[in-house]
Amino acid sequence: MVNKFILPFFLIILSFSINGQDPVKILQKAEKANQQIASYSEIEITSEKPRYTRKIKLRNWSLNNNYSMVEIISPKRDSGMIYMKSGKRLFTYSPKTNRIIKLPSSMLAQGWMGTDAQFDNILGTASLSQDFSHELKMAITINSESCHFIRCVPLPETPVAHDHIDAFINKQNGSISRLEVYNKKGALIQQIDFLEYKIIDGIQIPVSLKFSAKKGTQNTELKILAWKKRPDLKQTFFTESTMKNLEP
Amino acid sequence: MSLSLTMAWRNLGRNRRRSAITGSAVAFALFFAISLRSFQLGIYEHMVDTLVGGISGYIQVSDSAYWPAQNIDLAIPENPQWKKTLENDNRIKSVRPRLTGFALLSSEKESSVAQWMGVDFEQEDTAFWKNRLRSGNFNPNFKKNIPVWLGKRLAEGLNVDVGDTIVGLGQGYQGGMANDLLIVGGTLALGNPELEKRAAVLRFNDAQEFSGAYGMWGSVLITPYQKEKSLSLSSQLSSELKLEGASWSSWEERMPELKQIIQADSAGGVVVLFILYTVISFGLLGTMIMLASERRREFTMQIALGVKRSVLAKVVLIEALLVAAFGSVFGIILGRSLAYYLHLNPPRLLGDAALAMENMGWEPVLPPSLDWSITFTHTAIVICIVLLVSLWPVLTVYKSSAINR
Amino acid sequence: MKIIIMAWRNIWRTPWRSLVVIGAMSLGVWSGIFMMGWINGLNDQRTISMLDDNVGHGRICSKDFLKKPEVFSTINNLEALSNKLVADSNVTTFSSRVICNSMIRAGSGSAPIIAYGVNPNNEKKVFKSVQNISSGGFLKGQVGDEVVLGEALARKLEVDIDDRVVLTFQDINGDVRSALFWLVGIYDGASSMIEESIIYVPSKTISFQMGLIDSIELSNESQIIAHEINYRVKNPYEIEKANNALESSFLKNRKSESQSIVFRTWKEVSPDLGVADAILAQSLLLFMMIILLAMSFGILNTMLMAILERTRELGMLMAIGMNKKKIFKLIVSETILLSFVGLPFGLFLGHISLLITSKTGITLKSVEQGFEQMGLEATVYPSVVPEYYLPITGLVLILSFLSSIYPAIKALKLNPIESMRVL
Repeated sequence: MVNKFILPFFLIILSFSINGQDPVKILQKAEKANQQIASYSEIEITSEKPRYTRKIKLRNWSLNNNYSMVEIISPKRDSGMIYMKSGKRLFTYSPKTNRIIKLPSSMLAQGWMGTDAQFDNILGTASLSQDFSHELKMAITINSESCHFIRCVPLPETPVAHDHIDAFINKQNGSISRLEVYNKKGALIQQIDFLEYKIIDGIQIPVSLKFSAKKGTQNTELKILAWKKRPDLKQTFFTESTMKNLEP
Repeated sequence: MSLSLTMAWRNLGRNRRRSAITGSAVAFALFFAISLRSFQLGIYEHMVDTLVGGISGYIQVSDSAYWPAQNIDLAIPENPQWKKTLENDNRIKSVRPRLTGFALLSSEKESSVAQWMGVDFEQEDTAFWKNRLRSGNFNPNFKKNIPVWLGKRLAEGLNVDVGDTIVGLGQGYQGGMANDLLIVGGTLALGNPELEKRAAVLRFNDAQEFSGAYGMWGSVLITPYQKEKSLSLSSQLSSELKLEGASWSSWEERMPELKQIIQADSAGGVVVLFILYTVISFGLLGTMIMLASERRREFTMQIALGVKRSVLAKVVLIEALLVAAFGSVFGIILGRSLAYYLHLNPPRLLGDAALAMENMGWEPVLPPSLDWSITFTHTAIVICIVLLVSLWPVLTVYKSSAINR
Repeated sequence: MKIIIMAWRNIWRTPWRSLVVIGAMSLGVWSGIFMMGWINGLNDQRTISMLDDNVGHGRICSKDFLKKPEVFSTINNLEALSNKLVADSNVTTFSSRVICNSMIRAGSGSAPIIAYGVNPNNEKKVFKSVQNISSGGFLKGQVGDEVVLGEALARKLEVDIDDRVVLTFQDINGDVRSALFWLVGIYDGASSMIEESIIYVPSKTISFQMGLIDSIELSNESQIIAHEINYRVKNPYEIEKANNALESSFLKNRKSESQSIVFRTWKEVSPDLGVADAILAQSLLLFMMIILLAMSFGILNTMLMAILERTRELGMLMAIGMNKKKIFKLIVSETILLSFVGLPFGLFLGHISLLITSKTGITLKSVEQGFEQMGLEATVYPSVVPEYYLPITGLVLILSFLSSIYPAIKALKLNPIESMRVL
């Protein structure tokens, strides 16, 4: 008698808990993890193209989306080059020419690091949790981790050109495991894999990312070699004089 | 048959003046036709020469995926031996390697995106570049710095002059950065205002250094002697002189719109040619009418003597053919000589038109074409016309009554 | 006087010979006139076609914009300028544009392009290219999130009608903005280069997005802000006059404005069109020369043959006692009388042929396909060119005259006895 009641009761509760997972909340939590924190990091980017592979190492000071400074430290030919985004302006400095050049603002609109690691290209200023409609699908295993599978379709006014984005959120740590970007014809245009997360300085950071485009012929791997919180970074740091006298 | 031939021959010799007049009618008809068409086609050749010749080349050899993006990553390794073989080929006039890429050029106050081209001045046709130089010179003494020659409008946009320093920053070979100081060595007029707004010329070695493409060619520009055969030559050579990983293309394939403009214009020109032929044909017809009129007595006499009309007609036709042949030879000699002379000393345009052309980097001349197919085509046409109009005297033969007149 | 009567009789005595000479002269005049009409028609058509497509007849923009196309370099006093354009008697229509340099992202790619924010009704009146819509339709108004791309761009980005398109650009404050648009139409432009770089969006929508206007007023029909105005005049070949008149009229009471606004003609906007015109004019001269020379030779030859044919007759005249001077006069008079028939007839032929073909056109079959690809018609309408009639007729008259002198001189050298013996 009790069994007859308890089993369906359990099933009902179970189904509630699955459907009770609000995709918006899941995404909100995941996006929070990627929020901007003033930091210093050392990054290695490996860019795989059909004809060649290129590795660069750089140091990155970042306050937020609008203030960041990047110095290339490897390979030797390009080392010392500095790019700085300060508010709405983009600068570059080269010790070889000893000149600071203000880059035309049109480059701001283009993803300026020359690799395929461009979040801006995919989402721009849109937010997955707020500017998309969501459909929670069957959980799936990605990179040996069990993940929520959420299909995000851009709302009619969202300034995003893609047909839909599939987001895979790691059930364990609540962060994004993968993003798949599709066009209207159902073809996968781009894929971002967040391969590894580490907790550094109390913050969960994705330390290994892989961007694939053009059916896997162009891959970019981003590895964070070091990361440090930098609450001392202010807007005043991001100036032309700093570019010339960057701390070692 | 040989009787008719002999008769025809003798007839021509008998009245030299008449033969000369008829012959010269044919000669000049052909001369005018060849001249007109040579000038018409010459203008297009000049246009292609200016816009294509030195910039992207009549025939271009580059990596198969190179065109149209001209991605510097797709450079091909230098191959001096292959180049030498090409140069020694008697169909090829010149072989010039190029390297090109995009970069941001910045002066004190302005920046502009430019397309830089590495050019090996030693191997280039120096006249080509000298003609396009508007200020500065090609032998600057800038010590260790890299000289660059900017399109006129690019220099204006950047507000720089000869001797000023600009910074070049761009995507180099295989992801590297191209980053260096450049000194303006001069400005160029390139015939195409759009090109002038973004072209910057470097010495080839400097270009390789700038972009990090050491030991690479971006593309190779090939100029054949017979420029009009670029398309067929390009596919021929691609199998004869293969280069690893590279493909050949002719300008028609790379700039189909230019080709279309020329075709369109040429079609319009054909109508002008048609008008000329109307005038020429009438001239030949008139000559034949007079000839027939003059010889009517002679015909009637011959018929009265018993010569068959058909034989007479045959003789008349053979005469026409012989006159056409000789006249044509003479016309061809006249036409070709004039075309050749004017090709080397082309008529210059006058006044505002000349200034406007020069401003755009075009040489203000109208050189006639030396294409042999013009000669052949029009000789054939003229001979056909002569045969056609010679039907008039033939008709006269048949209409001549042995009794009348 | 008697000579003239003799000349007249001679002419009609040998109709064939006379007809041939008349024919040669008529043909000379006809060919000259027709060629001028043809080439003029051809060139005008090409020039006008290009003007209609993308250049317009006249263009107005701010001086700053000409130097560097910034968002904030708009035209001052747009309303006053628009009123002036409406009032100007030379100007037939005009259209203003808001110009936005941006990146377009769609389907499977991105590209740098220039977006023209337009009022579709006006833009259609000034430019033809926006009327060549190969699929979908053009913009419906100045408001909305519609976008129209060129065929080549649509192919490159792999987008279709109803697809999403995102434009990213800088607004007036320098901030980077993204705006979503929906593809409603694809146009067939004059060249693939144009198709890949120019797109059309509603003017008020893009102005608002760029921060140029504060809100989109649906009631106000006229355009509030613009970077460029393109206008058409009645006769594009007289654009300099119209442009100068417009400029001085606008700047009359606005001395301060003269430094900030620029009025340009199509020749200044697109100098290569002007150059093509000039090159054509001079090569035309060359071709004309060749045709007239050919005509002269034709007449010369015909006359020579005629003389040859008349040796008997002339010999007889000389034997009877006509002196050489009179024979010379006779031959020259014949030529002149023939020209009285030949030249007017040629003029008539020329005029009629131009009149007819200017209405029906001449279709160049062989290049029909190529032409159509370029947006040109393969049918050319020659223009009627009365201003050339007199010079051409005069030229033919002179040449005919000269061509007849040589044979006349030859006639004088004839030996009367021998010539009578000729067979």
